[in-house]
Amino acid sequence: MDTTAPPDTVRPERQGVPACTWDADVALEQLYAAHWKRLVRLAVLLVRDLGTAEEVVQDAFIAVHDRWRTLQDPERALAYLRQCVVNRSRSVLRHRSVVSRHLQTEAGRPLDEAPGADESVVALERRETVLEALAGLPRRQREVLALRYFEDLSEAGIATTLGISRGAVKSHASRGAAALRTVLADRTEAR
Amino acid sequence: MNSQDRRRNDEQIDQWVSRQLHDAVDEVEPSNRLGVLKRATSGQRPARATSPRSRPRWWAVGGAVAAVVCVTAVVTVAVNSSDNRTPTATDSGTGDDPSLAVDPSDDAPAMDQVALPVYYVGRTNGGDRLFREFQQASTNDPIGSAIQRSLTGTPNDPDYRSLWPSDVAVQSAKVRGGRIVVDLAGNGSLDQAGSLTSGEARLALQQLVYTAQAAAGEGRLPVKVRVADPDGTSVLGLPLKGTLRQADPMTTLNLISLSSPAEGQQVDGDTLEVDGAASSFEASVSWEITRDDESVAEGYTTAESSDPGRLSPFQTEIDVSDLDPGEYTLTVSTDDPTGGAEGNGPDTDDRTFVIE
Repeated sequence: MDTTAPPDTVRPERQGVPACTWDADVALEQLYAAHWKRLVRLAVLLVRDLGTAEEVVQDAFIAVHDRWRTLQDPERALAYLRQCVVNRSRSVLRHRSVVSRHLQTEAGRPLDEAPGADESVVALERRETVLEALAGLPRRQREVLALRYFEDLSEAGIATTLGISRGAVKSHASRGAAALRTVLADRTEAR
Repeated sequence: MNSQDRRRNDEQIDQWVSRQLHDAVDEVEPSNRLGVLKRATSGQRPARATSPRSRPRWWAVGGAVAAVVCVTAVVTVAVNSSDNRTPTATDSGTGDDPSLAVDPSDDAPAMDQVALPVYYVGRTNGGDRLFREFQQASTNDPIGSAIQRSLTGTPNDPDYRSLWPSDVAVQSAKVRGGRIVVDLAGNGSLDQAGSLTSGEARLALQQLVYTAQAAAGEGRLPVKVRVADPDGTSVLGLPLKGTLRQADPMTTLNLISLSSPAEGQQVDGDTLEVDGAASSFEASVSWEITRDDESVAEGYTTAESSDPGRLSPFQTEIDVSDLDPGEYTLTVSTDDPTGGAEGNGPDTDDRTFVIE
């Protein structure tokens, strides 16, 4: 293999290529296998609906593929993916109108159940309640909670992902957790 | 509270929040988009057929702009094609996503096997209404595939039909910003009502709306229809402004709808499993099995709710062990307490099935 040639003119053989010189398509597949599901779930926590979450994460993977030559490392790629997911979720929410959000909340699904989808209604309701509560939190609190408690990121990792100080991470996390508890306690009592 | 208590308290809160978030999304199953991603990043124009053995050229992609263009192109062909008039709904092996045909990678991931909810028009005592069928398909674009099937596909049940012109193509259908955005293309006169009355045109649009919402599975999202044919201001003789909402189910849907058995289904055991949704007086659903127009069995079941304003699920199992092999018809009906004296009488739906 001619290692001196720029990567965009010669395609290295896949076999025997060390991980650090993965090409972008192999990287994409590996990253997809390792992170797709979890990142979509993270995005659901941020934007609530699955279709939008998938769009957001799909765009993030495309962005990582584009940048692979500068990333060249699975850990950095994951950090970049997370950052894309958070940023893109944010812009989706910014564009989503209040009206449509309201509609989504109101929407029942009596006609839309797939056959055999016998998921327990209680579990579904509880899930909706948590997502609704998250949606009601200030953006930063929601992001910090999702990264800390779902992604298990450290304070430092969250600070880097969001571009805020560790102190800010700490205060968003504790306020967010407290707010979530209050909202969910109210919901439970209301039932 | 001393520092030890506080620490314990913090840990409890941490665990609680973590459990809430995991419970909320851990069972969410994202669809498989690796194929879409590969095509979007392959730098190839998807419409250009290439040798089946050639590999995608990954680094043809320059920057973000190129990637975005590719995504759009891929999505556009995903359900586009007027020859995609799915001949039957049981073509699960062949797939109905023509973009697969131009995917040059020989390790393309299997597409998702899904049951697509598809709404068609059928006759009832109260005039034309929408009926829902579930069709098995392998697709990575359930919304676009379901809409294409609703508009131009062939229903499993020969009683159903579509009101759309047979050459309309769904170019893309996606959930974006809390709406479902659907791009349609026709042969230059999609703005015309043609032979449709305005009521039929409205019902045609509801075919699209109900199918799109059910396939998206996110409740009653508003639907934005865009038509570049010829100037995008109207479709089927109706002005296209803003987003479309679901029309009242009580005046749009047939009030009873069978999901199972599928049309022509073979039953090899002793039990016919029946599954559907109905809005009926006192939630009562009656069923009857006929052979050559003669009743061979009948009974009742109850929907989960009699809530007027929505169709609620019903299930029942019918013992068919006494029935001879052959072709039968199952008919389910809503209950009409007036016996037809008022209103339109009961709504019905039926399926043919075969005892082996």
